[in-house]
Parts: sequence; C-alpha cells; structure tokens
Amino acid sequence: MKEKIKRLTTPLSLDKILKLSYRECVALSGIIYTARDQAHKRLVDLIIKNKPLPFMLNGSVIYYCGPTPTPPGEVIGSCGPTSSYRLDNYLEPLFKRGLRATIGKGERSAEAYQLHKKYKVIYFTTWAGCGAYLSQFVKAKKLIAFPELGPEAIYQLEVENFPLIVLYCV
Amino acid sequence: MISLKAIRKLCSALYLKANFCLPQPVLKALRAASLKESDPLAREALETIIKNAQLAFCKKLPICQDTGMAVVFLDLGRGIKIPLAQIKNAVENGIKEATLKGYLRHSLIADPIRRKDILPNIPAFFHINSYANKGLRLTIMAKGCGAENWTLLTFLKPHSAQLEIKELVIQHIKNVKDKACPPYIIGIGIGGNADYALYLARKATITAFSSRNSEEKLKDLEKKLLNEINALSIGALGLGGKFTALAVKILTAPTHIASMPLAISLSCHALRYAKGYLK
Repeated sequence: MKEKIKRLTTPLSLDKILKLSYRECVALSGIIYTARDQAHKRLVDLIIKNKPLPFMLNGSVIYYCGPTPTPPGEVIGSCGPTSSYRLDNYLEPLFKRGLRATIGKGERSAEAYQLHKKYKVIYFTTWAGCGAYLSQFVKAKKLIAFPELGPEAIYQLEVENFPLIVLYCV
Repeated sequence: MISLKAIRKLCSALYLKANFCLPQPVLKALRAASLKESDPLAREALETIIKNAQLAFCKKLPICQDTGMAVVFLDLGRGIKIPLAQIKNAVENGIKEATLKGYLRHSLIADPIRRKDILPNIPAFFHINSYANKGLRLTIMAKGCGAENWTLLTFLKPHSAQLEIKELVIQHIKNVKDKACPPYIIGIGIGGNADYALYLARKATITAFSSRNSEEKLKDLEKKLLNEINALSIGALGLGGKFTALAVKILTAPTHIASMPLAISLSCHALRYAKGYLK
C-alpha cells in the first residue's frame, strides 16, 4: 500500500487498536476467521444455547468472506470481502464474547456502528472485489467448522500483511 | 451443423473467461479513472482493482470470490434445428463444467427459503431472443449478488419528467452508497412491463461500453446522471474521490399508456461477461 502503513499482529488487544484512525491503512499478520451469513447464525445459536464455540472469540478477528475452492498449488482461492450490512443483526453476542475486529465492506446500519463503539470493536475494510489479489496475503487455510456450508464454512486463515483500511475506529 | 457438445464446450469456456478475464472496455474505463483520480486512497483502490484483474487472468483465479449467478443471453439464429430444451441443457452443462474445472464457488442453493442444497451455479437464468444471422450467439454474464441485491423496480407516473427519473436514480445510488462495490456500471431500463424493464436494465449494464445510445435525449440524460452520481463522491470502494460510477446506460421500450416502469440494475466494478457464437 502506498499510504503509510501500521503493522499489527493478532490477537488484537484494545491497546493495539486504540490509536487507529479513520481511513488509516493497516497490514495485519496472524490469524483471522472467515464467517458470513450462515456461520454467524450458527455461532449466535451456539452462544444462546451456551455451547462451545469452534474458536476463541476473545481478541479475534472475523473476516466476512466465502472463498472460492482452492485450486491445486494454491493456499486459497479468490477471497475478497462480502457486504457487512447483512451480518449486522449478529454482532452483539459476538462482541460480548470479546470479538475485537470485523473485516468486511460497505456501509453498515446505525445500530452496527453503535455496537462497534460500545464494545470497542474496530471495523476494517479491504480491497473489495479484489479476491485474486487478496489471496496472496493468505499463507495457510484450515477448515474449522461447518464443512456442510461449503463456501460459508468457518476457515482459520493465517495472513501476512493483509491490507486493511479503518472504517470505524474505537 | 451445431452440436450439443460444441455448445457445452463453448459455454464452459465463456463462463471461465467471464470469471477470469475482465472485459477490455471495463479495464479501459478503470485505467482512465485511475489516471484522473486525485484522492490517493481512491486511486490506490482503482489501481488495486486493475492489479487484481491482471492477477486473475495470469493465475486463472476468479476476479471476485462471488463467481456469480450465470445469466445467459441466448440469441437463436437461422438454421437451428436442435430443440431449445436440449440447447439450454448443453449451456448449463457447460457452466457446471466450468464451475468444477475452474474451481469456481458454488454460489447457488436449491431452496431459497430453507437455504439448503448447494448447486454448481446451475440452473442458469436465460434471456432468449432470435437474431438474423445463421447459428447462435451467447453472452454469459457472471452476476455477483452483492450488486444484484440492489436492483430496483419502480413505476413512475406516466408523464414523469426526466428530472424525476434523474432524482430517482440518484436517490437510489445515495441509498446503496458503497454497499455494491463501486465504481458502478449502472443499467437503466425504462418502458416495457415490469420484467422487461428489468431485462433492459440488466442488458444495459453489459452494453454500457459497447454501443452508444442512438437517441440524443438519452445520451444527454446518461451524461447528466453520470456526472451527478460522481458528484456524490462515494468513490471507488466507498473511499471517496471522483468515480462512484464508470458508466450509465439507458435502454427503452414501448410501454402501456398508463405505465412508466423504471428498473435499475447495478453492476459492481467487476462487470464480468464473455461472448461467443457458433455457426
């Protein structure tokens, strides 16, 4: 990225993200989890029923993404973000469990904005519609939950210098 | 003599091409925009979109992870003796083959209410017409649903002025804002009936760069709309700047004296389609 970039690694504690400002560019390394519509519904169901979750939410980063199948020789297929507003109704239970960052694209509801502020969760975007380009920053991929959901399964991604832009600071 | 095998092979190639190769007119418009954009972050967005297209082409990775619903514009010309049902089947087999061979995402589900049963991007969604030449002609579009979810159909009062059309379109873009991945290619259909207006709007997106509008009045309205939409400064990927839209195209059709349907079809910046023919 040509803009000055701050490098961050997961897990994301509050002090790591406190000084980030709107439109600031970040290069993130570490672990992020993909989850979109169906996976969010299931995660919230598990929380409501007090059942164990497939990954630790505290300090974690969720990336709204359903990647294409991985071709031979690649780590991941095309993996850009999906529209964030569709996940707005699933936020509070995840935030209460310590989710620290969401990565998606596009404007969200006023309620989503308020919740991000209330729970001090940062909302990032990345280069939307650039799934081939973004696949370069994923170094490993592991299926961790809901394989029957196909592209909507939860994947653990190990990323290196994944480009992010701050949309909601904390 | 056209064979079903040839139809299947052509459609497999076209659906792969649609997903891996951004059409030249779209790339040209993106390049021109990136040279004119003065906001550094918006310019970087446009440059990344172009880099993404180049990488997708070289590595045969999908341009976008939403490899779309397959929309097929099928024109049947003279001398076609194969039953339509078989032609459609061959087209869909080609799309399924491309989905599997090209590692495209299975983005369709059979049950829209219970959200179950993932499908390999078939059934396709056909628009079938006739045309004067011999053989058949196809445009296959990979339509991502981030933008599809913002399709609009409305009915204006029959004597609505151009100003009302303009206000409606601009208000819609204000509502969508950055949720459908700008810069947009905006197709508008005016006239026909409900589904025909929507068809016109969708067709307008894939012909937005290829044919100039023959009607002066429409050209003028398209230009005004493009300027006023870009003045909203939503910009590339919602990051501000000059390019909320790359093109606006309007197609019209005769309509009922009591009606003025207006449809808006948005394409995101990854406007993906491929054309082919068989003689």
